[in-house]
Amino acid sequence: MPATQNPVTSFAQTAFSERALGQNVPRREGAAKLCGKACYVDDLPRQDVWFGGTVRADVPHARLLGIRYDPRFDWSCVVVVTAADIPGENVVPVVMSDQPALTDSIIRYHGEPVALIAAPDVETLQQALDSVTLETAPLEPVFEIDDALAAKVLVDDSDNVFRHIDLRKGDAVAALQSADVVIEGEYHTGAQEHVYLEPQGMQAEPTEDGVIIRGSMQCPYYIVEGVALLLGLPPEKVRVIPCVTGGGFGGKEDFPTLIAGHAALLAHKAKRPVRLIYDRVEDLRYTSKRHPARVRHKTGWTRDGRLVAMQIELVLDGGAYSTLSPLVLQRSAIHAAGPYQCDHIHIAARAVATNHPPRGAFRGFGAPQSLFALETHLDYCAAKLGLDPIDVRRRNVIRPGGTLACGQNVGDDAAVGEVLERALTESDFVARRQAYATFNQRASSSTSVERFRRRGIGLSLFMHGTGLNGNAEGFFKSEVLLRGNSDGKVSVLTDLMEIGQGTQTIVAQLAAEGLRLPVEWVVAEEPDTAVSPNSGPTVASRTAAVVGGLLITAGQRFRAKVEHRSGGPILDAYAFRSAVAELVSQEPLQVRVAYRPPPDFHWDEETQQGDAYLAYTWSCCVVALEVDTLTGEVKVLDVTAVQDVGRVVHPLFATGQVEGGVTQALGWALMENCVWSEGVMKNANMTDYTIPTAMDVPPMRVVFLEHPHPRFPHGAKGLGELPAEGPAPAVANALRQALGIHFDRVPITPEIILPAWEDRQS
Amino acid sequence: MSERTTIRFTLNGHAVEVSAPPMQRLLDVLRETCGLTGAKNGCGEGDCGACTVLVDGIAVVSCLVPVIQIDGAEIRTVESLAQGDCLHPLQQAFLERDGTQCGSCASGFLMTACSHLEHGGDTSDAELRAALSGVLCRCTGYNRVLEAVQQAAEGAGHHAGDRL
Repeated sequence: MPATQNPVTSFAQTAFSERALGQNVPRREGAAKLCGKACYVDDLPRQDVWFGGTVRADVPHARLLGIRYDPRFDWSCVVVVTAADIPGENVVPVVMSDQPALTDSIIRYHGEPVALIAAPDVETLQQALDSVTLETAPLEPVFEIDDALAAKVLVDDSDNVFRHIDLRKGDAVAALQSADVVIEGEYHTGAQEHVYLEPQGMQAEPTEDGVIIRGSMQCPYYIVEGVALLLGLPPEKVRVIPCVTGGGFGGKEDFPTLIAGHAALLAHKAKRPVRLIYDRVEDLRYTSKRHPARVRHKTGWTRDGRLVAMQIELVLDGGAYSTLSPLVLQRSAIHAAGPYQCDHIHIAARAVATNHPPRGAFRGFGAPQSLFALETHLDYCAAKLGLDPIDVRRRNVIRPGGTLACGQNVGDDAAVGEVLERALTESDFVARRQAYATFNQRASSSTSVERFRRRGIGLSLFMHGTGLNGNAEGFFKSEVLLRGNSDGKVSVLTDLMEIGQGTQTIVAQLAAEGLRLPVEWVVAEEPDTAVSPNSGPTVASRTAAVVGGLLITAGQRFRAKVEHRSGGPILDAYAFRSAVAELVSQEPLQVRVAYRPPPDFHWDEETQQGDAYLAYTWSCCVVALEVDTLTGEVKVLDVTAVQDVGRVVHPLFATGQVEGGVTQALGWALMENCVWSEGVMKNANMTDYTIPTAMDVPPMRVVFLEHPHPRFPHGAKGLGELPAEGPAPAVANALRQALGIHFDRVPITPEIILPAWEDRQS
Repeated sequence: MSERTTIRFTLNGHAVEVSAPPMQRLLDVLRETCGLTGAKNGCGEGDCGACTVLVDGIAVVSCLVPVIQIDGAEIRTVESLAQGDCLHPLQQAFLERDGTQCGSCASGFLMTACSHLEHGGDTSDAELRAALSGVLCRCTGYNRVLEAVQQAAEGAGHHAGDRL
């Protein structure tokens, strides 16, 4: 296949002329970032700022008996905070709110924060941190999923199960008995670290009656809630002004609430600004990861490859506190049966407690784990059935009017079959699979170095639900605000965070589309909770789709308001701008729009049935690779990613999202291996925890099918997480062709490949 | 605090004299003493390349350079690239190709690419991937970065010895 030199050119047909939507508008903050002028939290002025650090538990499970302060250190020159200093509630509010900001009794993971110290400079801070020891009485730790489920040792206060979800459609047990063939498989996926290039960091500044928080984050209003609760302040006394944020990928969804709380406690007691920045080792070792998972499949088939029944048992290792595990589990479960039509499904999903650092949100939010299992299992089943994995998928893909595992009818939005066919064509899949079979046959009988090389091509078919699950979008009631300015431009106010995906740019585009104004006349204001409405968290692939829809509506209403007050339609853009300026000179001009669920949207949280998501995006990922069987090294030759994400708001950014997501997932599939020992990540540095470099990434062909979705006024579904879901199973399936081995876990490192290959040879 | 030494060097074309502990990291001197925060502290171990600056035209990770070693050297940081409001061709190409998303790696890629092109480095895919492999990016998947550098090189009529 010819490498795609410039996939962006394939977007020509998607440009909507004279419209903001679909245009490659220049990145708003691009020049500032490229000139080194963008201000990240550690770039804030350092004058009068103290530096904070965290005293952490050095055992995975223990009773905390006391904290010892070395009398040789002059403690008068620093500020120390323990749980006893917390003016409000000692809790990090997430779903279950089971995590303390600072533990004062039970230590549940190695690295759990016990105390905080602030000092005038980092040298003094380090001396102080080194002068604290903890007295602890060890408790038996739990590290393995099976031990957690056995519940002989309890990590949490009940049965080590944070949440149990049963998703039922039809009668899977009975249907399995009627199947021609039943095939079982067990799959494992490892933890993955986000490795946002900017480590976690916060700065807190006390004000007369509250606190200002600046820092690196995805969700400003999560921090308002968390800090207010911790300091015992009303929420309006906590002002969050995010800094430029150097990547998130979910890692800065929930975790920043903890570190912002810590900075706030220190600033509150020190009565001065305190900056708390994690170094890379601390960040790798103690912040959240993608949940490790174990997934068991029992699948009933007809002999000719029709899905009869799917029984899926899914367990996520949630770590020591629940954080977002209940929601990650839910998304993982709902995606576990994939984009297929099957009448009898039972998915039993549990998130369990172990004495590992708490896991959290990571791009895909549980779906990559369950989809790795499913899509690898389908190829395994196809091989057992003696069928072509492409045909097995063709036979079972969901079609218009079909229903997913949660009972959700996908309506007309079911381009999954089309996505599959397009990916087969774009990647020249069938011909290349044949060519690789010939290549491998020739290699196996070769006497030259070629005999060590094997090639394979594999694919995966998957989906991702747009936005927050079920009733959560309705719960947040996200708001956006448009405001006329005295120069006639229109400002957009949201709390949506730019973390690399181009939020500021597309927010302006979407408002401009609704306003029917040039995008240059729309100002995307920086989030600041003193003035920005709560538009919900910057997560769940919801920005362009869910909040994007609100921006379109707000733009339209703003225009209608201006035209109404000015006495009629204004066709000319300059005249409109003058009208805005004129109206603003008389009185404030603004339009606020809040999210309301569509009237036909129904989700039953009790039964986990109904509209799990507003819409689904569909995608097929094809990976071609070559294995060196002497070293176990895998070289990915190219990747083809085809997706239906509805209308594409910004083709260039969208391509970047896909390429970046694919790259992260290739890392998870092939090299990113968190090595745990006694609850500690042993390879917590960037030498030993390796992520893909420019040399590890292949050319990619990125194709968007654009079927506008009727639930959004602009037809755009979500995108950010989808591309992270397909590459890992596509890699496993490509390796199946290359080596004839069924790899049932990721990462598939050379250390896994070599012994498996040797086994197969002997 | 360890003893300080006076160190003189050229920073983005200007003569600079700083008083710093000799083993202090160049990165910290640039960020804290000189107020240039474009180079980032991504890992502090020389792995991520976010702190890359040019020392006498060579791209180095400033987190691994004790400041004493740059006495008399010419240092260039990302802040030196743009001339007023006029972006450097590499910056312009990164903007057009969206070669940076979150921006943390921007300084690393720009300075590494700058050094590579100034030394007449090859801009074929394979060569460029190798040349840029010391800088990590978690957002883009690198292909936009590659295209941006190639576009800048083409735009400048790049050949050996050319200065962008």
